[in-house]
Amino acid sequence: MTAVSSADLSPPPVRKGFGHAAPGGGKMPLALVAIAIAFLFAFPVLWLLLTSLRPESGVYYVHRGTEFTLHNYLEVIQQANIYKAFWNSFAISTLAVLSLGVTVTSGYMLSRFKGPIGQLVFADLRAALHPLHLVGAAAVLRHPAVGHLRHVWVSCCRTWRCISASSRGS
Amino acid sequence: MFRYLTLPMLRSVMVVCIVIRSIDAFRTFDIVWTISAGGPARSTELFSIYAYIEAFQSMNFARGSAAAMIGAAVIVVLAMFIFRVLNRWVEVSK
Repeated sequence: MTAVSSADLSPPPVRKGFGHAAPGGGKMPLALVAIAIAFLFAFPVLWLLLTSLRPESGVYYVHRGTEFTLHNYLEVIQQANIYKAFWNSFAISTLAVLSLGVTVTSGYMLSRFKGPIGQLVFADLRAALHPLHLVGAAAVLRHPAVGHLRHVWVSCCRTWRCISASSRGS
Repeated sequence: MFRYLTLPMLRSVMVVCIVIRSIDAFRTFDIVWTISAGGPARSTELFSIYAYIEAFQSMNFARGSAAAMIGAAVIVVLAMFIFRVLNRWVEVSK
C-alpha cells in the first residue's frame, strides 16, 4: 500500500471563466479574439483573391456562385505593360533602399553630434521634407501636360480669384 | 570606431530596415500618381498604378485584383530573396 500525501487529498483548484471547460480552455477567449483580429486583417486580401478568381460575369457577386477561373491572371501576364510596371516598381524600390544609406548615416550623426552640427543636420532633414512637393509643383508649372497637379494648381487659382473678387466686391 | 564597431553592430537593424523599406517602396502609388499618373504613354506606370487603372478606370475588377495578387506574390518572393541574401551576410535571427 502506497502512502498518500496530504497534497493528493486536497481538492482541485477552482478554475474561473473558461478554465473549467477543458485543460487549456482558459486560452480560448484569447485565441478567439486573435482569430477575429486576424480575420479582420485578412478579409480584404481574401476578397481580392476571390475577385481575381471569378469570371467577368460573377465579379460583382463574389460571394455567390462557384465558378472560378485563372483567365484573369493569364490576361494580366499576357500584357506587356505589366512587365514595364514591375520593372519601374523594382527601380523605385532599389533607389529607396539606396537612400537608406543617407538615412542611417544621418541617424548616426544625429545621435553622435550634439550642438550646432546636430542641429544643422536635423534642420537639413526637416528641409528635405519640402522639396518633393516643390519639385513636383515646379515640374507641372513648367510642363502642364505632365501630370495631375495642374488640377490642384487650377483649383488654387480659382480659389484665389474667388477670394480676390469677393474682397473687391465688398 | 564607426567602421569597425558601430556599423557591424548596426548590421542586423539595417537588414530589417532594408527589407521593410524595399517592401514599402515596391508598392509606391501616391507620389507617382500625383506627379505623372503613370504617364506620359504609361512610361512611369508602377504595378500599383496598373492595378488601380485596370480596376477603377477600366472597371475590370477581376483583372485589377489579379494584377494586385501577382504584385503581392512578387513582393513576397522578392522580400524572401533579399532576406535570405542579407541573412548570409549578417545573422538577423537564430
